Amino acid sequence: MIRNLLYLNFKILYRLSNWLRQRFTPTGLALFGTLLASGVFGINTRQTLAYQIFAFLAAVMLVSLLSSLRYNPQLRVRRVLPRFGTAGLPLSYAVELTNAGKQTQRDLCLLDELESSFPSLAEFRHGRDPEDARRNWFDRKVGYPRLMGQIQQQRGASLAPVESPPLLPGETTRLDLECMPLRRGYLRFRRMALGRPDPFGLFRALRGIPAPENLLILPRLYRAPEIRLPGQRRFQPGGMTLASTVGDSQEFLSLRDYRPGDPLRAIHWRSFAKLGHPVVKEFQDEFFVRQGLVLDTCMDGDSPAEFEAAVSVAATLALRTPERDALLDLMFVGNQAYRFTIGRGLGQIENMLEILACVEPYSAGTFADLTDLVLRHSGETSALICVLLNWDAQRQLLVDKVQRLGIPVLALIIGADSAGLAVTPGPLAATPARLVALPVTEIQAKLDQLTLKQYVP
Amino acid sequence: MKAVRPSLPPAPPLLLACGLLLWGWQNTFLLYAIPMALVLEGARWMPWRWPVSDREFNHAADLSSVILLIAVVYVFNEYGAKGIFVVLSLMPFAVFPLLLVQAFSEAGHVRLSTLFMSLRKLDPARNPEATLPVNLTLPYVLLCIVAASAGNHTEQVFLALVGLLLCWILWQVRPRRYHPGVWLLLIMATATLGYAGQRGIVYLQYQVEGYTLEILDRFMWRYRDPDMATTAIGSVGRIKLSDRILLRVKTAAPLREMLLLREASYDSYNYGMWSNQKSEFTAIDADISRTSWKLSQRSPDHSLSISTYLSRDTSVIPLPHGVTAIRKVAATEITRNPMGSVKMEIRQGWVRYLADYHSADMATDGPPTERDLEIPDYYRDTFVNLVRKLKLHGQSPATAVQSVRAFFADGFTYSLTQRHRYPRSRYLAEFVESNRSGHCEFFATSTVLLLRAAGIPARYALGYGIDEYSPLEGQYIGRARHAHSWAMAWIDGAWHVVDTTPSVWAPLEAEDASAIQPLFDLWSWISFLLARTQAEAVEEAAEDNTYMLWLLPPLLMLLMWRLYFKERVARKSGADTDRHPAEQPGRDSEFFAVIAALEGKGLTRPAGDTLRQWLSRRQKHFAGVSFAQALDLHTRYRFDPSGLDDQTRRELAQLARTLLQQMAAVSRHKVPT
Repeated sequence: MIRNLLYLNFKILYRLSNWLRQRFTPTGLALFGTLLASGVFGINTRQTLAYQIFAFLAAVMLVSLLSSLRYNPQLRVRRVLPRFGTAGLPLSYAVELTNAGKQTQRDLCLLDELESSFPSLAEFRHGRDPEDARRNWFDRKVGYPRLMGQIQQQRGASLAPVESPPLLPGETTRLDLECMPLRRGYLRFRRMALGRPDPFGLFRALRGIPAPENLLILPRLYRAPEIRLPGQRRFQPGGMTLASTVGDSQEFLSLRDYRPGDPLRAIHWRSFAKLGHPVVKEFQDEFFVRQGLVLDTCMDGDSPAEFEAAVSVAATLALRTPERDALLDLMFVGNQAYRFTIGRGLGQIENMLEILACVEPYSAGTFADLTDLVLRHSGETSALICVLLNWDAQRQLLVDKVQRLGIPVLALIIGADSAGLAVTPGPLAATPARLVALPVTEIQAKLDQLTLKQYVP
Repeated sequence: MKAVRPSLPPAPPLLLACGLLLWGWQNTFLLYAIPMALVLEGARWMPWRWPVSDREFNHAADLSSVILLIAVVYVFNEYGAKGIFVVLSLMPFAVFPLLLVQAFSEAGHVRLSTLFMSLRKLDPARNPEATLPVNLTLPYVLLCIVAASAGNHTEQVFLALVGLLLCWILWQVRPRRYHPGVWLLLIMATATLGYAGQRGIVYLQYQVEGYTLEILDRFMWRYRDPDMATTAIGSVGRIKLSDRILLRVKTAAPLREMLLLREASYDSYNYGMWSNQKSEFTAIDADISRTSWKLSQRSPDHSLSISTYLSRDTSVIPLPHGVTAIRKVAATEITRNPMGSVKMEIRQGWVRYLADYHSADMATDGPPTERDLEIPDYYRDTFVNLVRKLKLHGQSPATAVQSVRAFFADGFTYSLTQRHRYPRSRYLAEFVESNRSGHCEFFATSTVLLLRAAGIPARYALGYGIDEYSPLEGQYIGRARHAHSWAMAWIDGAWHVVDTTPSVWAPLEAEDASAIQPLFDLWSWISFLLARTQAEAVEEAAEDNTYMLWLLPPLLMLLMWRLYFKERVARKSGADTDRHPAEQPGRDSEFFAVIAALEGKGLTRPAGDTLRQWLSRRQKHFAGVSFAQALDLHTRYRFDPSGLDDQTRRELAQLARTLLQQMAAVSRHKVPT
């Protein structure tokens, strides 16, 4: 009951606070606070003279408000965004502001807005925020800062209003903005609002200009060495049809008699003319190295920090693993089983990072779905890197099955500690170096310790 | 071009000093405000700056918080809820250490997290607002302005000064896109609006208060707080009080002068409020009948009956000054505090009691304390000068009291209207020195302070002045507008009434009475009679302790009704199943005799056996006897809805008789086991 009441109040408070921040200049906010304080202390006109301050400031605010009623600026805006941003790294972008009117525009304020929605009651009640541990008891109990954290996380970044220099008629200026992306995924820009202060400089008249745009924020990346796992070249059914060029391999093997079903373009016309019956060219089947990168999306319990770390580690490895002549398959389960391949011109690393930027925890099924996916493609896989969120029986079963098929596996366990893994190495008991614990707070340090030598048989 | 994030500008030079001086002047802290202003403004011209870390800024902010906390605890302990205004006036002191550190720091500003402890531990990368730089000078100026208002001093100039300071701030932050003329025009419009607004707020408060008091007076009963009373000293406008009858007093003989019935006394005055520091009530022993309480050993010479409405189970009751005993009331408990207030614990509603009293207008309250000689600092000079002027110091207490009475009788007028507004610490000074016009609270409070200044312990008493006789009721009545206050002086070891209010106060207040007041009075009288009839029935029952008998009739009626109702329910629910045995078909079957005969021979039917099973088992004991045909007819007779025709019925009877005979014959030869 109390939580519901708090939720409703916070909703109102959040909207009010947003309105105040957008509409008032910092000085306006300070004077508005003074107006409220004087209103409280001046409620009894016999007790204090605060009512006089209240009356004067109320008049100031009223005049400010009335002065801001009409505002129709002749301005054009264009956002210049980079191709990608990275979570946790400052993102710089620019806004081009053009004065299309006939008057010089001074003291303009630009507010870039991101789409955001207010968390539901269930999210408010059960939501977790990693910052909670740093908050005091009251803040944790009441939950307003946590709610703000949830909104900020969902929005992806905080954008502060910025001031524009004077803009002459017809002039275009470029404003450099900076924000800190808080999460991977898309930042969805909604509109830009241009604010003009009133003659007292307290209240802004706002004019919103729709400018919807999306910017992909990639997962946070770590430094990591290039990882080479011992793995044989595997027969790839379909051969180079998987690769960048459409068609069979250009590796000529031999000529043979035509069999029904052979493509016409495979007919060797000279031999046909010479022998009198159709003869076709036969090409060699494709064998090349194809590594698998398995991302464990089956989040046990409530550990978003570990999940995010797993995505970041997978992105890091995706950047560092592929060789020019090898393929890399990213495998994970989400709404469905995903297998995305890059390498040999088949797909770009940017595409894989884009997928990783948007990957969500899998809660509809079990880890067995991921095991099925990996085993389904095990015949084509030379080696496997598993980024796992746990080292339980199910995960060990996957590694065991894959190893039995003769595929070398490197398992990176996010959130585990080395001592714990040393006790239960499971199927990797024979090759303990391929079982690596990556505690969330020491991921970079542990990745730095990964050396090429360790994994060469 | 790198965009600039809007931030709070610093206060322009000298604005901080002006704000501090305004605060110091209004709150009489000028002695502190001047050096504070010099230090803070001097920082602009001093080249020394210290590198202050965020941690040190945090410590400075914590120091300010601790100072504020100590001030809050101390002030609230000293002044109670009203201490909030004292805390407000002290705020610039509390925040000063932080301002000082900022002023002499190399950074020149603090982080937002310095001001909010909850932001300090958060990750700055995720919470960039925690690291926002904030210059505290402008907020400090605004704080000084609000704190200055707590002084409530020089009302006329305050608005102008505040307006000037705020205009100064607005001029500094004005956008350059507008011509200064536009700004000036708007600021003039704002000032006009602000002035009208503050007059409107004052007027609004008076109107709201007036109507609220009127409504409360008319529709709600008052409760007298024996520890605190708020006066209307400082109210501008006309005081409105209702004609509602709150008291009824029956005396043996007509009153020769106004009868003062006291409810409470107070010993401490501060800004329009009388209070007692601690007033513990102690129980008074009742006599053996539990209807009489002796309050004093003095012998009474008068007695009167008081009827009053008590809005709570335990309320303060009005009593004459020289009260010696309370009689004829079935109260649970009567308690009294050293200030003379008497509380009665009894059911809510109209209560009547007899009060025996001595007519010497002397109260037998506790002896005076140091608080009975205290004068607020802001009135000390006024009343000390008045004592000097009246030459009270050389006089005996009794003579001094006479002189005080004479002083207030000369040139003072009674008025319910106050037209002028003064600083809140000037109202009584203006009353005794210049305008000499006010209502009873002005007279009583001034009398108390004047007597105290003359060295005579004095208290402020609240109650009713009774002198309106109602021919309709044949007794005196006390209306809400008869509420009165007077002084009590400690003379020759007793508290004496010193009522300096001109005696015209009651007729003057009666002028406001409505033309249809007699109708209201009649309605009030009828309501009172009805309420008393019920109350007396209860009281009389309580006196002879037989009131339980009155409960008997309704309880008996309830019991009878319940019994009747229960029976009806039982009858209704059992109508089909629980009929009288004689009415049930088959109960007169002769076969029952056979069953009884069998059971009489010790062949009891075991529980769970049907009649047929039991008889078939017993068949072996009676060779040649067949129960089957008779049992069939018996069963049909009992349970077949169409029953048996006469012939078959006779057949059943015959078969039963035969069976009985056969069983008797068999028994003679063999006794079954």
